[in-house]
Amino acid sequence: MPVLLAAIAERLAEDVDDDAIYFATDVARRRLGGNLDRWPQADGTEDGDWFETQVDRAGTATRARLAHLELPDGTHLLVGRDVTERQRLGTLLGEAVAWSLGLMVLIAVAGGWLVRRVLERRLAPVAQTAMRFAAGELSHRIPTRPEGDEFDRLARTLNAMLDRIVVLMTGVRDISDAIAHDLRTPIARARARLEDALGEGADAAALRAAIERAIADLDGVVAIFQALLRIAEIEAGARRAAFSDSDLSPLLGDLAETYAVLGDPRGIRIETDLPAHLTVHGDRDLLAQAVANLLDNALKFSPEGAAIRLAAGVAQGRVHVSVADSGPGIPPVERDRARERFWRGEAARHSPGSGLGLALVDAVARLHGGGLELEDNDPGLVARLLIPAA
Amino acid sequence: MRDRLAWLLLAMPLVGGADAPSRVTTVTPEYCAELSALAKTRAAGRPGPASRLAQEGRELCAQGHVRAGIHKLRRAIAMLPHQPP
Repeated sequence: MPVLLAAIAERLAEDVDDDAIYFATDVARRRLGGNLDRWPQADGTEDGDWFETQVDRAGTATRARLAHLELPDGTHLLVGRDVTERQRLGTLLGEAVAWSLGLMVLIAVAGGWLVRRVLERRLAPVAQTAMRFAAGELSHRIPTRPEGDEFDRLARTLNAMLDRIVVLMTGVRDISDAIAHDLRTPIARARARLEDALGEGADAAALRAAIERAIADLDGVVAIFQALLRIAEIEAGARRAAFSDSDLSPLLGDLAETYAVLGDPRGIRIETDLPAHLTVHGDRDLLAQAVANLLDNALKFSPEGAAIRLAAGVAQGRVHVSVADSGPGIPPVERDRARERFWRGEAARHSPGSGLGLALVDAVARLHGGGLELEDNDPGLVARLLIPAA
Repeated sequence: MRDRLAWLLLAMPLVGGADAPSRVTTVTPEYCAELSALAKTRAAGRPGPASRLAQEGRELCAQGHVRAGIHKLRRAIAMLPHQPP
């Protein structure tokens, strides 16, 4: 026991933190040593028990956490420390956390409210424009600011979408008018032929001839519808799933040969300037159709004995396929309209055709992310199909 | 009534003493003196920071700043070796 008491005295002497508590008693729990004056208020504790109690430290009530050890000789030892500071620190930390959380919730609520107000204020013109547009006021657009933040970019994108919708709606209306106008003629002609054949009391051969001509007229109508449906299908982007990498050079060579044969009776030559390989990512059939339309137009409008030049290559990351003829060309002021459905130039008024050829080429080019350029060939026209390189 | 009041007055200190918490005995002038003696013994023949700390502790205790004095003395004792030089 003296050794234990000396050890306790030594530890207390070096207890710089001033929070250690040691208390040694005899069997009857009478004080032998340590820094408590008597057994604390914790009756009934047994060996190994931890308990908390209140102690008086220089007149101040503090909390102490103690362990009760019963030594082999029956004496008792309490070992522990003052936990008041620790509890105070815990309380302080708890309060700090609670205040922080409260403040965070407050800031979050205020921030949410503020963000909501800002969003409402910035999106109100969008909602208003959408409502007015839906009500039929097609010219109204979302106002944008020159600063150009995210909302302005969104507004500009939506305005572009509305412009596109208006263009499409106008296009649909124009197409409806054009269909009504362009189809009326062949249908009326077919009807007149059939009526004439019926009225004249013609023989079977004449009737048969009239029916065949009417069928030819109606075939023309069907062809127009098929071309319109094809353009609509291309513009809808449904064909994009069929995109694949393919070499365009052999295809262009075949087309040149085919149209050379068709141009031969009028002495029209097809000159080519094609690379050995021209890989593109797209719909091979549609691209072939587009180039065929360009060659068909060139053949139709070229004078006898002229040359048509079919060239292709890659420049500035784009594949270009151009068809140059020496026909009447298209005046610069009409080149934009030349891509519209049913547009027919002055030179084409008296030649067969539906006015859908360049519209289909333009649709194919846009489906591939490119475009159709029309330029002067002095004389004639250069039609250039541009699509991104594979 | 007077007898009962007198009995209560006599009993109160006893009850209060029994309920009062244990007192920590290492924050008293007596313990300060005990640590001072211990520090003096260990610091004998060892001038240096520990001796200066012990002296400051003694002075604080003498001025009535018991807790501060005990703190300095404990720091001095913790710095000093247990064996005499």
